[in-house]
Amino acid sequence: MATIKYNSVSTAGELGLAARSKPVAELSDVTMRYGAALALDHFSIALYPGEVVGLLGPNGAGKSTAVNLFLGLRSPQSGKASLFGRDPRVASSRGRIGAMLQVGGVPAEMKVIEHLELFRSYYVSPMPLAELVRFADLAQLLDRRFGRLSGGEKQRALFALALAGDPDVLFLDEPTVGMDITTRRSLWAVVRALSARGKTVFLTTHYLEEADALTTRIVIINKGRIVREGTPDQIKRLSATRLVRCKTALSIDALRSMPGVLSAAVDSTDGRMALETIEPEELLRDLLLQDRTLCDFEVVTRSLEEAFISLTAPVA
Amino acid sequence: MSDATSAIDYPLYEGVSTTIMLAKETMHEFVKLLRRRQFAIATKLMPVTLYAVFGASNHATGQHGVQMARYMLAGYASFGVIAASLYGIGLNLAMERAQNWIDLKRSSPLPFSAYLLAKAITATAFGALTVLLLQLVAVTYGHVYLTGQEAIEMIGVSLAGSVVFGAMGILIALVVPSNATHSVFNFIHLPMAFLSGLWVPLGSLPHWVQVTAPYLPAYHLAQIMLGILGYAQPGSMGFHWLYLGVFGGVLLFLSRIALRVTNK
Repeated sequence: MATIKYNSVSTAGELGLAARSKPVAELSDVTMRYGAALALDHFSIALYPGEVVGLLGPNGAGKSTAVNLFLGLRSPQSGKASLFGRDPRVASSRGRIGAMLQVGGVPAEMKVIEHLELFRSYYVSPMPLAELVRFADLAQLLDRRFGRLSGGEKQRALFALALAGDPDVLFLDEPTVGMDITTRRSLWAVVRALSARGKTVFLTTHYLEEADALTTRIVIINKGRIVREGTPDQIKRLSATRLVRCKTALSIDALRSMPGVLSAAVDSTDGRMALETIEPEELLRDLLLQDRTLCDFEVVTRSLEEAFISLTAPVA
Repeated sequence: MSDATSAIDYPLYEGVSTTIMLAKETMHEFVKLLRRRQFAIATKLMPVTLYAVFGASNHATGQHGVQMARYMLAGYASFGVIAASLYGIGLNLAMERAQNWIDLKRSSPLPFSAYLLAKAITATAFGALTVLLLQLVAVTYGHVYLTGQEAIEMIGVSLAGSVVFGAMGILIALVVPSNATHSVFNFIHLPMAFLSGLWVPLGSLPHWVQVTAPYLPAYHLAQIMLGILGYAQPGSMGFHWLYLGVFGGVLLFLSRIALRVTNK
């Protein structure tokens, strides 16, 4: 199958974003090579205000490289990175952004409040401390030294550091790793609240449920290239097949011989027949015509996980 | 009907003044190192107690009328300055690099130069503090006669020494793999101190040590300190300053290259 080149700008155009505003952050035709490995291959992506963009991909796909380029931590070997139209490697360009990165440790001797105050001092109009504490649920932890925090508490504190400047664009690199489910849901709620305020969020994650729940646009990357892009629903619908589940009197052989049926099996959970097909509507018409006793049918969209796996599977 | 999110222009963002950011960052670094037990031991406790035991308590007078307690003050002061810089800038930076904390700082509006400078200023301050503590021990416990001028000059030299060994610390932090930095710093610091005659006067050390010592920057720092106290080996002070200047310059130059490479 030929690789379709998805250009972030055109997809964003379909979503009506480009017409309304300029991108707040952009990677233009960026290529990054580490030795023989190609981390990003003529990669382009634009982030628009109010979006929550999720970058999904297998390990080594180039996600962290993309984040590093946005933040000015690495220089593009070719192509360009920009934040609000400026070079992210210049310190003053980063005055309206915040980042949560995967860090192995934080200076353990300093208290949470001291870290928060220091990061807030980098910005002209930082987030009010009370709001920051509330967003990251740190009220009980302010006076505690960072070395004394549990894993989940550390993640919350790091999230607060990302929010400290009341950023217009938030970069989150695998933000909920190590969080319990309550903390994860709280973070999601904060991200949604920020997005509602018109802030932009760029998030990398390998939790597909998180991408599904949180993002307004998903970009799937593999081997440095964009493989698919769209809203979570579009992604789920674009890929592969749907599943038709039903109770039918037709035999499994008869079902298998029907046009459009890719596979047929008995679903062990409820005894219904599960039929895999690309065109569920056609199949349903055929089934309803041939079997007047057909009932309990549903058409199931593939989960994002299945879509993701089929999109990023290594080519045989 | 215009949408609320019509074309965003990019107003020039006026950031927080770099000086203010540097000041706050430096305060933060200072408190951090003050609380870091290992740092306190390596840079204050160790030089001061070793000097108190081996130096200040030594009321003997050596060859040529050298007052031992006063002589050894120079060596231990150099030792303290080097420790403060190697661990205060070098190991500090290496740890934050290993943890990727450095990337979080680099993604913030804090200029990277301010990040490094805050560490350098803090380490320099701790170096000067160590020299001051040693001087106090010398004057009180060691009954060493030290003029105000000599004391101030020693502190001044400690500031210059911090630049050279700070650059060394930065270079090692950037070039050596993270898990090896602690060993490398120890390996450089302690043997170099010994081989430069910081603890035991060179005259009492084997011939090969006396010959190799002048190649070590710690030797030159110690000679300058000794010069203030009137105990330097014969030779011009200018030569020692030149050596340190060139050595420091080369290290700073290499550090700049290392920074550029690691930030790719």
